[in-house]
Amino acid sequence: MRQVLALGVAVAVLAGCDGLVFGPLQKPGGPVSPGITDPGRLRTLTTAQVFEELKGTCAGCHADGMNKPFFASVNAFQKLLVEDTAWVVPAKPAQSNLLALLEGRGTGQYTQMPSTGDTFSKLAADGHTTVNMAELSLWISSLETQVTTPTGPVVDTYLKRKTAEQILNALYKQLGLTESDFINSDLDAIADYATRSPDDYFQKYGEKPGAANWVALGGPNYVEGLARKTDVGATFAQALTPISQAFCRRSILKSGNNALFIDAKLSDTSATAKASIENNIRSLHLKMLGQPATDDDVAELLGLFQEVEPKGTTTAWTAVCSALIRDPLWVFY
Amino acid sequence: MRFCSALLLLLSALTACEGPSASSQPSTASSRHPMVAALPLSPTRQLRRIHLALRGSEPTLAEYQAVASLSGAALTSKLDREIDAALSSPDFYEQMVLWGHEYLRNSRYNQGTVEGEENLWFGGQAGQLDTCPSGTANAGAFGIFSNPGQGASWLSEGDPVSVCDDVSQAVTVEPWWAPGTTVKAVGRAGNGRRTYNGRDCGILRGGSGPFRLKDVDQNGNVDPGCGCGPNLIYCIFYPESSVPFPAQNDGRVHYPDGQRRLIWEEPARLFAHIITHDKPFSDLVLGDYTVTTSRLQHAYVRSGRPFSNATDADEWWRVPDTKAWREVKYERMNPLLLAQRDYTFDPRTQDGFPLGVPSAGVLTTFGTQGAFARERVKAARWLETLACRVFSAPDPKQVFNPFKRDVATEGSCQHCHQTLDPTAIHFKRQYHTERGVIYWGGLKPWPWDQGWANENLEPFGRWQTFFIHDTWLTPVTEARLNENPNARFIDFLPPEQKLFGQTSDGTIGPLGFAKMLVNSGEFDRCAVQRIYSHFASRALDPVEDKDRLNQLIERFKTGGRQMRPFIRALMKDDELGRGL
Repeated sequence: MRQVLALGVAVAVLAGCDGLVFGPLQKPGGPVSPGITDPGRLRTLTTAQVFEELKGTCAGCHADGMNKPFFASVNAFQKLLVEDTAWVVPAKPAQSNLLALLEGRGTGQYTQMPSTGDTFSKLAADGHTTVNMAELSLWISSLETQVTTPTGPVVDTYLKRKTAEQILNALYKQLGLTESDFINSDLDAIADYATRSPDDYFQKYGEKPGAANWVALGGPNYVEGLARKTDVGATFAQALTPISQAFCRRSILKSGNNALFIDAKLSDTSATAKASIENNIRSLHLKMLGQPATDDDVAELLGLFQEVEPKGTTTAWTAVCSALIRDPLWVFY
Repeated sequence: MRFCSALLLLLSALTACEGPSASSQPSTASSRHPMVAALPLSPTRQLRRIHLALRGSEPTLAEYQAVASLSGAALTSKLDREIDAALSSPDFYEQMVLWGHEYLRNSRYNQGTVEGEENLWFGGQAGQLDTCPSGTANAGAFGIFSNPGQGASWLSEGDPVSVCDDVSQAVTVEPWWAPGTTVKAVGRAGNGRRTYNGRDCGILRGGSGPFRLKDVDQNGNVDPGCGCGPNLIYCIFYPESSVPFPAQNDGRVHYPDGQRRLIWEEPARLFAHIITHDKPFSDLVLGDYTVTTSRLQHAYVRSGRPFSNATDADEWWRVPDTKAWREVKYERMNPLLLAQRDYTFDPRTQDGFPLGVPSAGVLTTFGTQGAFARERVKAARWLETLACRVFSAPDPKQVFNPFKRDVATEGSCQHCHQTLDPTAIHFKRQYHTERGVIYWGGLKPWPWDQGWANENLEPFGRWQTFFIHDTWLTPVTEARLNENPNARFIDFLPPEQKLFGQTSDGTIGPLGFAKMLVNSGEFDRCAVQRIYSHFASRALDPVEDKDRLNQLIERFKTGGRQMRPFIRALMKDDELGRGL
C-alpha cells in the first residue's frame, strides 16, 4: 500500500501543474497608431485576446516544444514576447519589432513573419487572419510599461524514471540473475515474465518472448518505429508489479545465488534470527535503493516480512524484495 | 526518509498549484525565480544518478558504502571523479548509442511488410558466394554456382557445381571480409578479373537480380567471364546464408551483422561516435564522415561502384577489426557523397550533371535516407529532430487561400509546408527502394527516364508527379524542365526563399539544409533543450527557464559544441544534486 501511495505521490509531482499568474496589463483607450483611418471600428484587444487571435497563424512554428514557443501558452506569450522590448515596446507600436516583422520590415535574422510566403500584414489585408495590423498596433499602444510578472512557485522535480533498459539491467544485477534464467539460447521463454527488447531478437520470426513486457515497461522498439516511454501510467505499474515478484522469486530460488542474502540466510526466521533479517533489510535497502535505511524503514519492511512469513521465508523475502523494486526510490533517479 | 521526501514534494506541488506568495520559499542555487527547491540528494543517491545517467546501471553495494560517509570537499571530489570515469567508459558509449536511436528516431531501413520481401535484398549490390559442398575435392571453397544445393533453377548464371571436384580450379585469395586470412575460391569467383570483353566487372547488371553476377550477352548466352574481382570485392558471403535466398540474412533487420541491420544502426553509432570522440556535435549534420563496419562499408562501396572504380584498389577493408565501428570519410566509400563543403550546381542555368551531393553527417546515411521515405517526410522528421519543430493541424479559425498546385503556398497544407518544402528541396535526389536499391536522381549514370515516368514506374513516376515546375519544392520553369528534365532535381534553396531566416549559400543537397540549420542557431537551441531534458531529468520550461536556456546555449557554443564537457558541467551543477 505504501508503495502504491508513494508511487502516486511521485507521479503527481512529475505531472506538475500550471500556475499562471497574470497581472492586469491593459489600460483602456490609448493613442491610435498612424494609418488607422477608422479607429472606431477597431477592436481594442487584451493581451490574452491578441494571443488567441495570432495563435492560428503563428502557433504552427511557435507552439509548445518548439525552439521559440511564444504561443505555448498565454503565459509564454506574455513572458517571452510581450515583456521583451526586443519585440514589443509598450505604447510605441512604431518602435516595436513585432509589427515590423509582421509587415516584412524586420532587421534581424528574420525579416518577416511568417518567415516564408506572404507577410502577416499581407495575409491580414487579404482577409486570411482574424486580427489586422491596425488592431495589433492599437493593442501595443494600449500597453503600459510591462513589469516582469512574478511567476508562481515551481517545484524543481529533477526526477527521471528508469528506462526499460535500466530496469532490466538493475533487476539482473541486483538480483544475481541473467537473461538465461528466463530465455534459453533458442530464444524461447523458460520462466514467467521474461522481458527482452524486440530490437534484440536476431534470427527469429514470430513470437518474441518478453517483448510485450518490455513495451509495457516503456521500452522502445526502434526497428519498428516505436518510441520509448517514460511515463508512470497504469500499464507500467501493472507490468512492474508482477515482474518484480517473478524476478525476486527467481533470484531466491536460483541455486547458489545469494544476491538477496547479504546478512541473513533463507532459512532464518524472525523468531530465531531477527537481527540478521534486519541487517539484511538494511543492506538490501542501500543496495537496491541507493539510500541508507532509517530505523523506521527497516521496521516497516520487517513488518512486511513478518506479515507474509507464515507463507514461508521465500514468499516473505519475495515480498520485501518486490516492495523495494516498486519503491519510488528504485523507480526514479 | 523517502516518505518525508515524497510528501514534501507533493506538498510543494500542491502549494504551487494554489499560487501563494513565493517570497517565503527557498530558492534554488540558480535563483531563476522564487521556487520550491527539490531536496538535495544524499551522497549515495547522487552517485546512483551519475551511474544511471551516464552508465545506465547502478552502483554496487560496495560502491555505495564507499561514498555513504563522505561529505564536503571529499564527497565533491569523489563524485567528480565518478563523473569523469563514467564519461570515459565503454558504458557511456553504449548509452549514447541508445540515446542516438531515441534522438534520431530512424526505424528499420525501408523494409516492406510483405513476408519474404527481405529475402530480395539488393542493397549489397554484390555477387553472392556459396561454398562447395562437403565431400567434394574443394569442400568449403567459395564459388558462384548454378543450381546450388537445392537446385534453384533461376540461379543458373554460375559455374556448375562440378568445379568443386576439380582441384586445379581452386585458387587462394585474401577475402575482403577477413583481411590477413586466405580462403579458396573456385571457378569464376576466383578469376580476379576487373574487366572482361570490355565490360567493367565491378558493375553488376541484368538477370534475376543485381546480387548475382549473372550477365547475358546479346545472343542470350550467359557470360562467364567476370568474377568477384580482386580480393572477392565484387562479391559477398554470409556464413549462414541459404538457398534459394542467399541474401536473406542481409535483408533482415534483426540479423546481426546483416546489412539492413547495420544500416539501421549506423546513425545512432555516428551519434555516439561524435559525442565520445569530443567532436563538435554539429558534425552530426555538417560532417563529411560517418562510421561503418566492413560489411556496412561494403554496401556503400558497392552502391558507389558504378560511378568510380577507385575503391577496387583502395583496400579499405584492410582493418584490424572488421566488425568494429570506425570513422570513414563518405567520399572514400562512395564518390557521390562529396567531401567538398561548398559544392553548388544550379540546373536552372547549368546543363550536365552535378558530381554528386556533399556528404552531411547523419543526413546522408543510408539508414536515415531509407527509413524516412521521400523528401517531405525527411524534412518533417529532421525539423522535428534537429530544430524541435512540431507539426500539427492549423487552428480551425485560420483562413487559407484556395489550393491549386503548390502545397507550400496554397490551401491549408501551407500551414506546415511553408517550412517543410524549403527543407525538403535538399533531400530530393536519393531514393531507396524496399529492396535496398538506391536511385540517385539527376546524376549522370541514371538521368531522367521519361519512359519510366510515363509508365509511372518508381521512382520516376513519383518524381514526375511531385516535382512540379514553378513550386517551392521545384522552383524551375516549365520551359526549363522541357529543355532539361534533370532540372527538376534542383536541391538548394534559391535566393528568393529563406529557411530559419537564412538565405542559402547555394550548397546543394542535405548539407545546404544543415548549414542554414546550424547558422541560424536552431540546431544549438534544440540540441541544448534535448540534452538538458535527457540528463537533467526535466525539460526546460520555455518561460521560467528562458535565461537558463540562453546560458546553456552559450556554454554549448563556446565549448565548441563538444558534448562530453557540456554533459560533465551539467552533471556537476547544483540542480543535478537535487531530487528524490
